[in-house]
This record gives sequence, C-alpha cells and structure tokens, in this order.
Amino acid sequence: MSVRDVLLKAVERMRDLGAEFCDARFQDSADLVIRVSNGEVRTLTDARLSGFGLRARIGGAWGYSSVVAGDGGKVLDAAARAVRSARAGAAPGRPIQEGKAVTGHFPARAKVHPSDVPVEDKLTMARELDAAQRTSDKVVNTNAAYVEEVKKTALVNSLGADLDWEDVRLRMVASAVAADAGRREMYHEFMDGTGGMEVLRKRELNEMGSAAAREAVAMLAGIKPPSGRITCITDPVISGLLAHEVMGHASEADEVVKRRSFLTDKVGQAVANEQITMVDDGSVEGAHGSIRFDDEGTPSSRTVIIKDGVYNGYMHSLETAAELDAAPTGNARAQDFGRRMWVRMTNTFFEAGEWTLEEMIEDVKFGVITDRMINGMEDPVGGGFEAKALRGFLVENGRITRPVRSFTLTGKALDILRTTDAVGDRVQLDAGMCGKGSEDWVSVSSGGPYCRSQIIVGGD
Amino acid sequence: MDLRELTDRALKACQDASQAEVFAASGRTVSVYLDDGRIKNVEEKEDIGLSVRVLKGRRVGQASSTCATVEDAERCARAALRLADLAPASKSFDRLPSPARATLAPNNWDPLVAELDGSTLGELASAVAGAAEGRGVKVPKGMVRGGGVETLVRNTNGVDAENRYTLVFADFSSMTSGPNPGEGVASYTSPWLEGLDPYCMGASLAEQAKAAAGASSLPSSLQLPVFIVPSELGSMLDSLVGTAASADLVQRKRSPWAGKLGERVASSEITIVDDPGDPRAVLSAPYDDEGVPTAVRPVVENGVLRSYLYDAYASSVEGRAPSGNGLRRGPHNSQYVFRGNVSPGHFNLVVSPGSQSRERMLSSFDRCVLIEKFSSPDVNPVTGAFALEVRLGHVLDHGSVERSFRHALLVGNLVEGLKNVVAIGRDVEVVRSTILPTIGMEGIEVVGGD
Repeated sequence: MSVRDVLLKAVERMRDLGAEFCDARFQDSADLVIRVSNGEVRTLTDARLSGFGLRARIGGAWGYSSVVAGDGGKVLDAAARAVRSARAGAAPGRPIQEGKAVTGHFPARAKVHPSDVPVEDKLTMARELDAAQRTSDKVVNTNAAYVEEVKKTALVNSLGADLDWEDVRLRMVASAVAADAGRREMYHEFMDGTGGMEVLRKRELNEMGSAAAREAVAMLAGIKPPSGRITCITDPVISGLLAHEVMGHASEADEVVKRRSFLTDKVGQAVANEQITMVDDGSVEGAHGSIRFDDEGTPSSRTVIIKDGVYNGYMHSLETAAELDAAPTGNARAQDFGRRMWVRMTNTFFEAGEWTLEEMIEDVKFGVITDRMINGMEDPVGGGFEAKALRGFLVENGRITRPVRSFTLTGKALDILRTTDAVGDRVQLDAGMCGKGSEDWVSVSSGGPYCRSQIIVGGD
Repeated sequence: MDLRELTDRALKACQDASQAEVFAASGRTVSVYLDDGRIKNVEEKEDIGLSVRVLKGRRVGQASSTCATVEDAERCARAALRLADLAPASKSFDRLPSPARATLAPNNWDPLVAELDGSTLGELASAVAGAAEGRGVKVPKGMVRGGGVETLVRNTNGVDAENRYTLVFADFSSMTSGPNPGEGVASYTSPWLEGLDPYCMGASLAEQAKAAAGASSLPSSLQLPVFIVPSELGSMLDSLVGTAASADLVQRKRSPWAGKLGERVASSEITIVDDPGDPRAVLSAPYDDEGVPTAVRPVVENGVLRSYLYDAYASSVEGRAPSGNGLRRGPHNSQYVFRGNVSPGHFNLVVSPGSQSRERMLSSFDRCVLIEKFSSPDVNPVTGAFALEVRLGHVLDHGSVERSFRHALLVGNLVEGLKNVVAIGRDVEVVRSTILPTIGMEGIEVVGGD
C-alpha cells in the first residue's frame, strides 16, 4: 500500500469511527548537520525522522496519535486511537468550515537542491567558515555549523485536501569566542533561508567568519550598559523580537480564543504609533520562516496584524478561523508529525518607515543602539517584553561612542510602541527557532527596521 | 521488533568500521492539554529508533533514524559509515568506551506512569484547573505528560547497557480576570506520579496569579540581598553550572570555570554534587548514554571547584577515562530520545540545603528581595551574566511583603553571585535536572522603571 493509500484509509477509518473532522500526515525529514570547532569536525550527522501523525476532532476536542510505522495496519490502529482520544476530551467548538481543498504535488522551490551537492562540498564550506575566524590571538575558540533540513509531507484530510510538498531549509553559523585579561565574549554571524544551495551564496564565507571573530574581539572593549528607562534604537533583530515575542505570540488566535492574549478584542483599536505596520507573511521568498503550506495544508499567506498603528487581525488555523468567523491564514504548524499543532508565526516583522539610521541617531542626547540578540520571551497574558541583546553601543549627543556588553530590554509592549517616534527605512529579517512555551520548535524569522523608542534596559 | 534486535542488525551492518556504537531507544508518551479549563487534546504516541556512531580509525560518522523496520537500522548504519569515509581524522578520538560494571542502581521507573492513559491524565489536569478556579483564577493553558523510555547502548568493545525510566511533566498557566491580569505558572518534573498534587498546584497557581495582579512597576532601582526560589534558580544553575563544568566547553575555552579546578568558585556554604543515583530525578541512570557506569561526583565542594564532566570524546582530548557523563537525553521529553548527539552533561545537580525554612531565613533580613518568577531564567553560559525580566518579585521587610513588583530587571552575574551567597534555605525542590533550595545572594541589582 502506498503512503497516500494509507493516509486515505486512515482518514476513512477516523470518519467511520465518528470523527467530525480528521487529517492524516506522513512526514519524512532528513537533516544533515556538520559542526566544526577549533579546526576539528566535531559532528557529521545524518538524522532522519519519519512517521505518521493522525488527528481526529469531535466537538472541539482533538485526539492525536503518532506512530513510526512499517505497515498500514499499525497506522489504522493509531487512527482508531486518535478517535478514542478525541472522545476523552471535553472542549466545545464550532465545526471546521469547508474551504477550497488543495490537491497536488508541490516540489521545493530550490534552484540547486542540496541533495544534488556532495557532502564533501558542505564539509569544505563548514571548515572554511571555521578557519576564517582565526584572525587574532585573542580568538580562543572558533565554531562553524552547516545545517540542512529537507522535509517531505503528505497530507489527506476529511474535507478533501490531498497533497504533498517539500520544504528545504539551510543555515550556516559562525560563532567565535574571544578572551583577554580575564574577560570572555562571544559573537556570531548567520546565513540562512528556505531554498537550495543558492541560499548560502548570500555571503562570502571568509568575510562571514572573519566578521564573527573581529566583532568578538571588539566586544572585549565593551563597558557595562546603562540601566533604567532610556532612548533605545533597536536594530532590525531586536525590533523583530518585539514584533515576534510580544505582538506576534499574542496575535496567535488560539491564545485569543481562550482570551489569554492581551490583544483579545483589540481589532480596530489604536495600539501603536501610526508609523507602525506589522505583518506575518509565510510567503516571503527565501525567508527562513517561509512555508509552502502549513501543517493543515493551507497555503501560507500575508496577515496584516497592525496597520498604521491600528490593530487589524490575528493569525489562524482551521479551528480558530471557524471559532472567530475568519479565514484560515496558513499558520497551523507543528514541530513534526508527533507533536501538537498550534497557531504559529512564520516571518513576522514591522514594515519600513521613512527614517535613516543616521537621522535617528542625530536626535539622541543619551541612549543605546542594540546589535543582535541572544533570545527573547513571549508574554501573551501581560504584554511584557523581554529581549536580550547580544551587545550594543552608547549613543551620546548624536554620535555612536562606545560598545556596551550584553543587556536586556523590558517593559510593556504597548507602552513601548506608543513611544516609538522613528521607524527606519530598511527591513531586515533574522532567522530563528520559535517555541510555544518551552517546546514545539518551528523555524521562523522576525525583523523590521531600526526603531527608536523609550525602553527599560539593564545589563551586567 | 525490539531494541536488541535493532542494535544487532545495526552493529552487524557496521562490520567495515574499526569500532561502532548503537544507542537505541523506544518511547511511549501520553499527553493531555487543557485549554480554558477543559480537556482540549488527548495524545498517545509511540516511537522507536536508533543512533549509530562509527569510527574508521579516527574518522567519525554518525546517523540517527526512526525505525519502522529492521532494515531502517541497517540503512542508518550504512549512512554513518558513508559519513565516516568523508570525515577528516579527529586529533584524539580513537576509542569508544570499554565495558565496566555499574555501581549505582537508581530506580526511576514508575509502573503507574508507564501504563498511564489519557483519562487518568485528564482527571489530573481537570483537578489542577478546578483547584485554581475554586479560588477565582482561571487556567487557560495546561499540560500533563507521562512517558516511559527504554534505552539500550551497545558497542563493538562489548558495552551492553540497558536503562529505563519514566517521566511526568506538568506545566500550567493561570490568570486573573480584569484589564491587567496577573499570571501564575507552575510545573512539575519527576519520574513519579504520586508527587503531583493537583490541589496544591492549583492553589499555588491561584496565589501566584493574584499576587502578580497586585504587583506594580518599581519606581527606582534596588541594591538588596536577592533570594531566588528553586523553580527559577534551578534553570539558571542548569544553564551556568551545566556548561561551566562541561569538559568540552572548558577545552574550547567557552566556560567561565576554565582553568579553575581546585580554585574557589563559590561561597564556602555551596556544595554541588552531580548525583545520577538519585531516584527523585528523571535522568538518573546506572550508565550514561555511552554505556559508561555513572558515579556520584562533587562538582563544587565547600565552594571549591572539584571536577569537570567528561564524555568519551572530551576524555580523549586529555587522555583520561570518561567520567560517565555522556548524555543524549533531557528531563521533559520522552519522544525521539535516540536523536540527540552525545555531549558531556550532568544528570542531577544537587545543591546541599541549609538548615532554615524559607520563611525563617527571609525574616532574618531587615530588607531583601524575593524573586518568584522570571520571564525566562537563563544565564549567559560564556560569561555568567544575566539581566532577567521579573514577572513576580517581592520586596520584603523582615520577611513580610512590603510591595510586589513586575516589569523590572534583575541584573547580575551568577559566577560572581555564587561567591556572594548570604543564605541557603532547606526548601528543596526538583527542577529539571537540578535539586536545590532557595538561595540568597548579594551584588545583584533590581532595575526599576525610572
């Protein structure tokens, strides 16, 4: 029996057993990971994850089951378990609406598919990136990584969807550690995206590696950052964290349906300075968070979350779209076939304004400008913002003066956005992995332009 | 198809290698998710797979795969062999571990957890929500997971080590109603089901959410002794000590404790032991994930750094024996356990408790700060620095709450903080892979709004 036949039969079984909506997915993902440290290849790994995920919905409750199966019989048993589990739930819910069911075969949009490139070439790239970081005696540790993910998904659901598609995602990372006089600092550079090997031609490896090393050494001169509420120019990466962690997570409609989001009932209200427009767009060509389809088979799309400072709308799965009388936006995502589906972001960013960075800096008497991030955390309930900047620079009397060490930005997101008085003229996206809480990781990107706001900062 | 059959087939397929290791794992996971106080998702999952590491001389290749059939195990082995052919030779790594007898025999397999079904977990989740709702606080989001994992690691040197453990992981979020709701968070990690008291968890969720709702921003910054509760400090210690004591990161000069063996790295009251024999913890095991017997190991003893943690690779760099700290697993997850790469890590960092209850300890200070909840309690593992958003903290006067606050930053350095400990409680909790009490430190700043 072919995979498609197994999926069709699984859906039929779940419907026969009483599922009001159901879907069956087969996923086969193959990752190649190469890590080099101090000139030595530390990891050369081929990792394969393959199996079936079954979902059944009765009322508003879901039953899930997943198996690593070699024959159709086990998948059909798992389908029956999914329906039984759905019956154990107790949540009310509206029926999922029929829409235009997608059918067909959709290969990856890759000019040079990584499977056509020998592993030796990828190994050479990773070693070059590591070697390029050896630029100074102060660089005490060099690291390079090549990560390739090829994921094939086939999906059938009870509303007629019957499709398969492929996602290809690539990433290279350079991470250097510099040390001097008892101080130790780290800096990293990335290159990533969806697509084929052309994604990794955006930067020259020698330049990328030496930049990571140079900036790690430069950070040794960083001073303790200022603390308190000050003028802060967030770089595209930290602007993106504000978009993603606070406004983005709180705009995931599964948080809104259960009224756990501070943005519940905000559609039509002014929530930010009128210079602010924010979107989630899974269809940005080549971006790290782009997807052809979400894990329910809905094509990715562009969702305008804030338009000229006014809150516009949420991101949806099939279920939340039904609950809130909206159209699905292609944001139902799961880490893999064995994990729960949630409403998730793709590429989330503020759109460009009109200011140049130089104009923004000119007006600042005392403040900081951020550079890169370590991480951030969502707060859909309270609307709080936490972003850890990898480093920054002091801005004094309209000029960038000294580098500052890592610091954290915090405050209430809506308060921050109301103080945003300058939005830069160029958007950049930054790739990352996003968890819902502390697990269920999916590939995303976030970004925006430089933005100037009043934010609480502090660091050691 | 069982783990032994899979490892047999994979090892046979590795005959071209000078040495080969197979780590196989199977897991059964049942999870229940609660949305808005009701059971939303019930999940039952099964998985099985393996990871193969081969050496051809000093060339190392690795592959992992889910296994639907025994042929998948053979395919995985062949993939590892192909990569070993392409890999450049390691400078030092030329030997997988040899067999040795275990001295620890922790029991962290709860038969009740291994047999859990969705209904039992659903009742537990509903009881947590009911206890919070009975106190006027809703539970919009929660999850309880029960898992059973069996592992088998074998290599061509004769290592043959089985292990099994269960895990219960619960994670709930509560909130008050109104325009500025307060949020509470509670979690539980253990091999055992009996320690999960849904009524206590629900009551704690309610108390925390109400306290957060009453908290306000701090008008100015504070320099006072700061106490951090185990649920938050555990994650911070995990991310600092877990990496600072890793021999791999020491060798790569990424550890703030590099070159400090035998030196004072903490106040003399601080003793931290890695104890793989503790039955309270999920990761406890008689063998590590490379089949090396585990041992109770002092990491910091009376403030002095006593040992780093080694896997087979890191030990080869220094020409010494591995310490039994090669780990692939995490404490929260029972799915796809075979997928993780080996690296040196700790099983359970056990911090020796003090003699006072938390209340008595806090009341002995004129003024101090108690942190109950951070946004994300982590520490820069290279420098030890942290600047963490406080979601719920209290300024205390002789142990009584003077004011509760949030939206502030706690700024400091945990490497330095461990040298400036002012008190240690006896309120020990198991948090991820740490077992620790509340600890108070000086030299940490609370940054307020203006």
